Amino acid sequence: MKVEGDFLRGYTDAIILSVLDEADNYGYQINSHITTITDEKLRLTEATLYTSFKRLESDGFIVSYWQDGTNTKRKYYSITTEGKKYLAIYKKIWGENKKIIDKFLGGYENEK
Amino acid sequence: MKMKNKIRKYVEYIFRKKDIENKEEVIEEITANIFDRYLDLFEKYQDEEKAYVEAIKHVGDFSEFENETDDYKHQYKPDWTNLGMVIALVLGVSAVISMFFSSILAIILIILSITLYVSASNYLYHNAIYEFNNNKDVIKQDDALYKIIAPLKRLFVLWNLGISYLIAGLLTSIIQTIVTVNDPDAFTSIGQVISVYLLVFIIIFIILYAVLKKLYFHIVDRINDSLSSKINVNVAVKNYNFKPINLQKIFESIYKGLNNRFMPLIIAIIVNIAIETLSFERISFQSTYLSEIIYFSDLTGTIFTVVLGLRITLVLAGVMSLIFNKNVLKFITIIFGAALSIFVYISFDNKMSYYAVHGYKIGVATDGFFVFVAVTCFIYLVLLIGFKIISLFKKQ
Repeated sequence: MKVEGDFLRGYTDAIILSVLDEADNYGYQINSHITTITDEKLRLTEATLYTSFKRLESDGFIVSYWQDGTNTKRKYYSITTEGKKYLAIYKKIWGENKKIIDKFLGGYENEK
Repeated sequence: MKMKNKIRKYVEYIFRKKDIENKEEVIEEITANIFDRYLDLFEKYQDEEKAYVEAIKHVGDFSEFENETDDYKHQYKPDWTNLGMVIALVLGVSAVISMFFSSILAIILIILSITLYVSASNYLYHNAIYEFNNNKDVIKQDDALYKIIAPLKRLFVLWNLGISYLIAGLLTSIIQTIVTVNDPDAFTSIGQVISVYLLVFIIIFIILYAVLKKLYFHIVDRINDSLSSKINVNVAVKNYNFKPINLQKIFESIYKGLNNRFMPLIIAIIVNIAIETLSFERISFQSTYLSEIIYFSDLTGTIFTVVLGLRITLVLAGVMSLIFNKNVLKFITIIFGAALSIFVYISFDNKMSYYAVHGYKIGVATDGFFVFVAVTCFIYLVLLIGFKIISLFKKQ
């Protein structure tokens, strides 16, 4: 089953930031990474990816630079200190929200 | 590479109407991402078309980057003011065209164009205030203001062209009359009249441009002051502002135009036509330049032969510039063209009295044309050298 896009849409920025927190990367690799981690249940469209990059860059959470690749020039993104702070806050909020949602809808533990 | 181009074309198509910053960079980035995905899919399917379609399927929806003004323009059905503004523009264009045939018609068309614009914009302005004060409808107010500002720049340019042309004609006639009264022999050449006319036209155009530009901002400020919601007017101003004049870009485009590989050949042909026309008018009535070489056996004949040789060389140099497109060749051709024009003009000028005694017609129009060619060659040369010097300084 594919993970429903609507639910995850609000988390795109945080997901991208968490990927960039590991290393600098470019659009397609970031998306491939997300697809691999989620067992192909989540693949962002170019539009979603680009919109998110644009938003994060204008907020100062990421910066970009061009680098020559094998076939073409690639635009790499790098997380900033502000971005790292934002990610930490997001993780904290997500942890708290998850606990709340689990109380109603149940987590894996409840399912068992 | 073929597939990458295909993907790039698709991305360019998606972004064709989008008004975003660094558009080229965005297209480059998205093309690179889709191409990477295509390569992965191609490895999987081993089918170019299937991989392409699958890669494109994941592009998603970029509609939120749609230029809002495009939709906004069509939110309301057009009324008479739309038609009025269009007619005002058509009248402005017609005035510019008709000024070459009838000054009276041009004046009437300009007056009609101005009247139509003023009445339509007056209606729109009051409509905007009404919509804001009574209906609190900011979008409708914006729409009305947009319609006032939108055609104004084009209209100002058209009116300026027409008015400058008419005033220049009037002033040149006055100058010509004053000069001729003091010295009846002065100011008889068509070349002189055209030069004065152009100079006056340019001066008036620049003055009017400055005045109209000030008026444009005055109109915008006036609208801004009259309304409570100023931010909406700023949108109109932002979109329809006068573009700042980029001198460097203008210089570069003029230089590119002048430095065209066809230019030396065109100049060579024009110089040849000018010399031929001059000889046709002056040497003997309705005879060609070539026949004069045969006719004259003395020094005049020798000069004609030399000049003919130089004329052929000039055309050859023009052809060489066209083929090899070398700057050195272009410079040589232009310098040669200018020098030849001046040489022929001076030598013919010396002969003028001699032939005039024999009752040959001296064409005033030919004079003007010849002066025009020589002056053009000279200006062209000065511009080319000027641009070359500027570019050398820039490199340093």
